[in-house]
Formats: sequence, structure tokens, C-alpha cells
Amino acid sequence: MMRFILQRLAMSLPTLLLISLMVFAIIRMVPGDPALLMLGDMADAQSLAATREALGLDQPMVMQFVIWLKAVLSGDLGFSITTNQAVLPLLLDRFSVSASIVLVSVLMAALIAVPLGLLSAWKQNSGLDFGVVAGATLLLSIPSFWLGLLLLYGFGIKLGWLPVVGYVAFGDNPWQALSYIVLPIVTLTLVELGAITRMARASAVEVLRLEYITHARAKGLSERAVLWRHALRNAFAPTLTLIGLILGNLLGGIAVLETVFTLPGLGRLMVDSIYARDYPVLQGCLLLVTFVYVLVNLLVDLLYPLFDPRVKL
Amino acid sequence: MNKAFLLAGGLSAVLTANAWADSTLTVALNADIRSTEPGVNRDTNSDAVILHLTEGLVAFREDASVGPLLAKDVQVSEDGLRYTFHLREGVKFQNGAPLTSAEVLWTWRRYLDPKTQWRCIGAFDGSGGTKVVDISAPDPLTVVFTLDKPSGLFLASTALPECGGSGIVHPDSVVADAWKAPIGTGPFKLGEWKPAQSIELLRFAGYTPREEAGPDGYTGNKSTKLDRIKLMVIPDPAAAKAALLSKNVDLLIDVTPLDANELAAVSGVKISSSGTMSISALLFQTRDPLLKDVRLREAIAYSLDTSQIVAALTDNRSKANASMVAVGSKYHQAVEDKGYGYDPVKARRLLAEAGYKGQPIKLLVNKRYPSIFDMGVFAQAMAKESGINLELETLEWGTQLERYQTGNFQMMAFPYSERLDPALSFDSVTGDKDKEPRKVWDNPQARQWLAEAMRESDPAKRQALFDQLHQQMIKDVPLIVMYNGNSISAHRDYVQGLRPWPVSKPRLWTVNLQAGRP
Repeated sequence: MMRFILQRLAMSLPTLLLISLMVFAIIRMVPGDPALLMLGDMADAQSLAATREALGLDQPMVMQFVIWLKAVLSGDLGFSITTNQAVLPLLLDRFSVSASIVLVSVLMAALIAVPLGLLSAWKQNSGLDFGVVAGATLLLSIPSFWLGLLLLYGFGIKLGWLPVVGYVAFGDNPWQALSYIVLPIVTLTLVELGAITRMARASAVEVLRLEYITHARAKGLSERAVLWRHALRNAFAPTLTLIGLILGNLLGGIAVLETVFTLPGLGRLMVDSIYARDYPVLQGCLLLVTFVYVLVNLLVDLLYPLFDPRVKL
Repeated sequence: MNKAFLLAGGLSAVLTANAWADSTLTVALNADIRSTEPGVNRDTNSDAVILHLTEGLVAFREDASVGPLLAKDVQVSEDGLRYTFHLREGVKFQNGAPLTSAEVLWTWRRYLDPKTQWRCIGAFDGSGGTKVVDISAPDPLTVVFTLDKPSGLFLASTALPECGGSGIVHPDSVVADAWKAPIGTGPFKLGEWKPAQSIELLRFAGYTPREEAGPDGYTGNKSTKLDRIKLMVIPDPAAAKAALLSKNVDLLIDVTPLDANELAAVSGVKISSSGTMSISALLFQTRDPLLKDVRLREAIAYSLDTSQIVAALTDNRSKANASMVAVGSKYHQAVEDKGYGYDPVKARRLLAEAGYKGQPIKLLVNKRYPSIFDMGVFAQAMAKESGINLELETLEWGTQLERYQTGNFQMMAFPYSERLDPALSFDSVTGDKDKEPRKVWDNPQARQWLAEAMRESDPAKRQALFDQLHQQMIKDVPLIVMYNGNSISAHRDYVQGLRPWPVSKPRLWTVNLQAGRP
């Protein structure tokens, strides 16, 4: 097991290096100059040159990459061009906001969707099944920002139960923190609920048709035992893959939701850094996202044998 | 009543209750500030915040003239080379230390050190014309600046918002050669800045206001009734509107005319607006093979009914202005009112004379500034009526800015940020294209007039120079100035005392909150 983990982590190093090179090159190919964006339409040649020099943008691109890579290898991701903040703490701070919302949302969505999918498959072609499928399709089709705005309007403006903007860290004031993240979590849970329910249902339908389920029933096991003990584990394995993909995807930032709910998360940071051509921050964001993807996939691979005994590490 | 409902109501009251006192004003900012260092790593929001915390020797008044702020008075020597600032007595920094000429000297020496990377150093080190050759402090309340040559812009440059108003800060603002936080003399001091979330400003209890009866631009009596201001970073306009409607914020600044109309219909919400000195214009690349013919540029100008375009863009809040001299400026007189006028017949005649055969002309626009995009769309439609083929190309703002800086365009719809003196406005467009490709107007005579206007301090002589510049610009058509911008704010009705003015930045010390605020 440990060998497998180390192997996988070692395999991620070339990926990270390649990504860093691509990110470095691509972002610099995009037209736009960070120094110019800082100075705006009032930029004269002298102040532009001085700002470029101060940001190290006057160096040849290869030199800039070597300097950056050397710093990254020693754990230093540099400083933001826009705000002069150290990039690594900035990323970790913003990632913690996104991660707290994403992890809770995906966990809640999975806890609701998997039993619902199983139940729907068990009652295939019944009214309940049609209702679950229709509901899941609806949730899958609703854009997250629209659902978010709808919830903001309902619970924030009309009912006035929850604040519509702002963020409070959990450590600062747990009650207030909760009030600020309830709506983003509910929005994300609902949006992901659709996809996971459909996958869980489809997997369960397939599993319930297999001979070993018929065999279990023939043995005289109760339906509950057949479903929870025999069908669930096997039906859950493909759903786990989907959950892993969703998690990796969302942990990379939920920029739209973070913008709607004014959350200081990683997605918003990434979008802002693109507009500001804040190269160090953007490079750091993408490295972090890649690393998180690798970790999530590794975690899914490690969990897979627990649900599908055919898989050995 | 249903218990669950009561519980939900009680819970929501706990969750959403503002833990703030009644005199806390909550304001939405569309983007975070870049830093708290005056005029260094800055943008318009950073300037707006800084100008609540620090004060300079002089500042802009409401009529865009310059008046004393930390200075009691300013005396200019007859040769125009020596500016003597007498400081007000009893002014304190936010750390309790008294303001003396030593701090003014320290601050200015730091600004003029290239290592500080002060945005405005070019206006004082000789590279932009004038050089401050000496700053001295003959006594604790007097500071003398000596220039190498007379300048009509010295005081105005000192007061510019983008220079942080050259705010005087206490040396403790810097620790171990690194900027820490501003310790200024403004009516507010910096509370907590949570990047990407909020900036808190706290009333400075030891603030010493000027003796005037009330505020006047960035100067005058700036005492405040607010205890605290919370500036919340809300980038999404829809979320900002929702925050205002739900009373999570009290004031939205920089609202679009469309949103203003929608919000004006909401009970308990009020709209205030005023014209600013920013300029929206259509720029020409006069070295373009097609557009180097002035007749074609004129034809485009005559094909546009700018009054109609501006009325539609601003919902009748601004009027068309063809001059670089802003409508709110005291130098905007009858001469500056004369533009091109709408004359499609003349436009067609000029096109025929120029031999224009409908070749496409690329007009660059962006969507970061919706009014700039809309201006391009209107211009395209109107020009088409006269047979001019404008093709819109929408660019991301960073890309457009680079094309502007390098002069790589045929036509461009562009927003110039506000310059509070006409000489600075003309300077933003006038220059040698070989050295500064972003300058759209390369006319040696105009450059000479502009240089004179920058040196001259006599208002009558400056007026004559601005008149000449305007008339020549109308003849050369290097750009079509469309209108000066509008600053629109939306606020709850308990927010009183907002005073919009030609600078599109809020002055929150003028605000007070009416009793009965929820």
C-alpha cells in the first residue's frame, strides 16, 4: 500500500513540472501587461519601465521561469504582483474557504444521493423512481449561479433570514460563520445532488440485475439486507469515481458561486489573478489545483478496494 | 404562532444581526484595494480609501480648484519657484504625535526616492517637466518647496487622488524599511483589512478639522459623525444590489444607469448622482493608412449624433461634451461647448472627397466598462447610416489597455480616468507618438501650447491656451470626446449627507445615519 502511494506521488512530480511550465508559458502568451494594468491609462513610459523592473518582468522569460522554479522547489511561491502578499499563505487561506464549502457540500450530496439512487433503482419504474429521476435531472440542469441568486433572493432579501454578502471565518465566530456559508453549501449540495443521484441509480439498477442479487434473495435474505449489504457496496464503486472527479473539480475553485456569495475562495482568487495578470498567484493557484487533483484521485484509488473486492492495489 | 417559525425568526435574528453600532456605515466596494500606501500600489478604490486616512498639504475643492488642507495657507514667490506652506497648529497623527514640518519633510523625501515607487514621482523629479530641487523646514510649522522652473500644475499634481493626495504620514507607518500601515491625519484610521473581504475604517477621535463650516471637496471641515465604516468587497453587481435590498449594505457606489433606474423604484432606496471629470472617447490612430486622412475622421465625427448617444448611455444624466475640458471645470466655457454637431450630409460629402469606398474600420471595445461597449455599438449603428463601415472587436480589458499603450489600433472606444486639471486631460492625449505611442494627438503646435499651459498659473492665460487647444483638437480630430462620466450611488434612505462631486470617489466623512436605522 505504502509503495503504491509513494509511486503515485512520485508519478505526479513530472505532471506538476509539466503543468508549471505550461502555465508559465501560456499566461505570458496572453496579451496584457501586469505593470500596465497596475498603472492604467495614466501609465507613462518611465513609470511603466520602473514598475516592470520592480516586478522582475524586464528579465528574459527563460530567466523568469528559472528563478520562479528554483523558488518553488524551495517552497517559495513568490509574492502577488497586485497586493504584494506572499502567495503560499494566500493560497492556503483561500483554499481553506473553498475546501470547507466543497467538502461539506459533496459529503451532504453523497449522503443524500447514494441512498436515494439505490431506493430509486429498487423501485424502478415506480412513481418514486420517476420523481427522483425528474428531480435529479432538474437539479442537474439548473446553473449554480442562478440557483444561488434564487436562494439569496428568497432567504436573504424576502425572508431576511440569512445575510446575502460577506464571510466570517469559523474560528472568529462559529454562529456567524454558519450563517454565511449555509446558502453556498445548500446551493452546491443541490447542484451536485443531481449528478450523484443519477449515477448511484444507474449503478444500482445494473447491480440489482446481477445473478448474485437473485441468489441472495433466493437464500431468503430480507430486501433490506439484499439492498444495504449486497447491492450498495458494489453499486457505490462507480459513484465513488464520480464523487472523486466532482471533488477534484470543485476543489479547484467554485469561482461563480464564490462571486455570487462574495466568498474569498480560491476560484475568485484565480479569476482575479487572470484579469490582473498576476502571474505568481495564477501559477500558484494552478499548481495547487493540479496537486489537489492528484491527491483526490489517489484517495479514490485507495478507497476503491473497500467497495469493490475485485480491485487490488 | 408556529413554534418552528418563531425559532427560525429568532435564529435568523441572531445570525443576521449587525453587531455594529448605529453609526457604522456599510459600503459595497466592487473590488478590493491593492495596498494602503498612498499613491504606490494603487487603483481607484485604493485611492478612495487612502483619502479617508491621510491628508496632504493641499487638496481639491468641490469646484476642482486647489485649496489648503494640512497647510494653513500657501504662499508662492513672485518668480513662481518657491512654495511656502504654513502648517495648521494642533493637527495630530493617528498615533497621537503632533504634525510638524519634520514629518512633511520625511514623507516627501520618501515619495521622491525612486525606491518607494511613488506613482507621481514623474511630476516632481524633472522627468515630467518640473523638478523639486529642494524641500526645507525653516521652523516646525513651515515647509518650503523650491522648483527649478515655474509650474501651473505643482499644487494640482500634489493634490491628485492617484498620488494619494501626497498624504503626509508619520514615519512609524514604515517599519524596517517596509510599509506597514498608514498613520495619517485623516478623519478615519485604518481598522482591520481582510483581503478580498472587507476594510474597516474607524473614526479618529483626535481629528483636528479645519475651521470652515463644512466640507469642500477633499478639504474643508472633514469632521465626521460616523464611528465606523465597513467597506465590503462585493465584485458581483447582482450580489451588491441584493445586499442593498436586504440592508446588508447601506451604500453602493458606482452603480450603472440601468441599475439606478431599477433601484430607484424600490421603496427605501435613494439614488444620488453627479457628473465627473472622467472622459469617454473614440480614439483614432492617425497613422493608420485609412484614418490618416483627416476628412475621414471628420466624417465619422459628423456621422454621430453624440447628444442622442450620450442621452441613451447615461439615461439623460450626462450631456455630450466634445472637449477635453470637463463640463464641471471652471475652464469649460462657450468655446469648449463647440463640437462637431450631427451632420450626416456633410459626413457623406467628406467621405466622397476622401475616396472612402466602405473599407472596414476596426473599432475596439471592451465589456469591463459596459458603457464603453454600448458607446461602440451606438457609434457603429450611426456611422453605418452615413455609409461608414465600423467593425466592432471586443477585447478583454488587459488586452485593450496593451493595444492602447502601443497604439496598435485603428479606432478604440476608451475611458480616460478623471484628470482634475484641463492641462492634465490634454496631456493624456497629446504627445510625440514616436516616444509615446498611446498619445493620439501628435501636433507640435498643440504640444507647445500644452507646455505653456502647464507652466502658466494665471487663470486668464490658461483659459486662452485651453481654448486654442480645444479649437485645434476639433480641427485635427485625433479623437472624438463624447462625454464626461457620471458617478451614481444608490443608498438606503437613512443614509444622509452624501455629497456627489466631480470626482467619482465617495467622501464618507460627510455621511451621517438617520435615527431609526434597522
